[in-house]
Amino acid sequence: MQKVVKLGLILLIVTAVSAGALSVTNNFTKDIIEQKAIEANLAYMREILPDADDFKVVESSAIADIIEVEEAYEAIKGGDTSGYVIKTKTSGYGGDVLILTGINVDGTIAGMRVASQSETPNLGTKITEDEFGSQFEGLSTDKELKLNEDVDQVTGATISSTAAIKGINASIKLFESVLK
Amino acid sequence: MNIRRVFMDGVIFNNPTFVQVIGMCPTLAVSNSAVNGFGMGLAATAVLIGSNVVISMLRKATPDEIRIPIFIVVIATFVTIIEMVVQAFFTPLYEALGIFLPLIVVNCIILARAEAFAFKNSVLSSAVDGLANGLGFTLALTILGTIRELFGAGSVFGKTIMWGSFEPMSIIVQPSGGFLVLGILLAIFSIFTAKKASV
Repeated sequence: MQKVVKLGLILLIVTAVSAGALSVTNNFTKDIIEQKAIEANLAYMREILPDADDFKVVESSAIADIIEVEEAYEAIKGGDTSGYVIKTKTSGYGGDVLILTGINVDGTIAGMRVASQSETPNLGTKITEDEFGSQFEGLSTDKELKLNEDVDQVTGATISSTAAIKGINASIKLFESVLK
Repeated sequence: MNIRRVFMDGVIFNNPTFVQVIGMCPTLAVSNSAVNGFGMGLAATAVLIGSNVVISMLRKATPDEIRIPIFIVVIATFVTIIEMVVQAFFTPLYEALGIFLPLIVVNCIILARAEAFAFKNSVLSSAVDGLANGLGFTLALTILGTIRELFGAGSVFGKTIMWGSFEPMSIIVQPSGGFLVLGILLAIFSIFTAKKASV
């Protein structure tokens, strides 16, 4: 009996010290990690809507109604809203595909950037390349986009291409139904 | 315990990847480019040194019955710390390694060194053993990653070096290609070490 208590105590000490070390590290890195995540989004948003002065988060409960949508940002130019950037998460071939879609207030797509993906190298990863992504630029948001009608898919990567267009369509839906 | 010997064992003669053939899951999964392999190796090295040192320090106070849970707690703590640090300061590497970074916890090289070495040896030689095994792992992953990136993407450490019309062999950067390259490297390495042993 005494032995059990002793073993338990030793484990308790080891785990308590570990927990302490973790909380110190977490405290130290937490803010930097958060900052990096915002900066990463911001870099993409500046690429998509280069003439915006500022971006601010759109706070609306309606955003959660479209399941693919993660977050939405409003682009401000000279005090007015010049467009929106919407972040979506869809399932690709190798995991989640995070896409930022920029939409101008006039209802055209300003551009898209793949923020994160784990698709097959040299196949699905081509959704991150300009050849695929630039096809969306200038398309109208008045209807849902279809693969191989409005844009050409990446050859041999139907699932990755579908994930991309799904994300963009979710952004269009949010723009048309809520933000516009 | 001869420190030099401990070091050479970890890096070459008892190389975790090419001789012991352990830790295969991260080896195959993240060696699709040189920089990923190198980064994974360094992250694992940091964990190995930390866990080896702490486990060696605690070895007299650790009862045999609960040594494994204590090893796991120590290793998991170091992995989580490294994960947070990499996420904060090396974000692109964090994204490239993905799930395999937290999975260093179950990398059997680390538990194997804790059980086979750190639990029985002094703090200094355990630190050297951790460093050596980590470097051995890093070396193996970097070689593997360089070869796979060269043939699979035509570049090394992100710099294109193959000629313009070179068509990348996609299979090499996919899991099946990982097995092929690893098999060939294992064969080459064992020719080399077998010769050394017979001299």
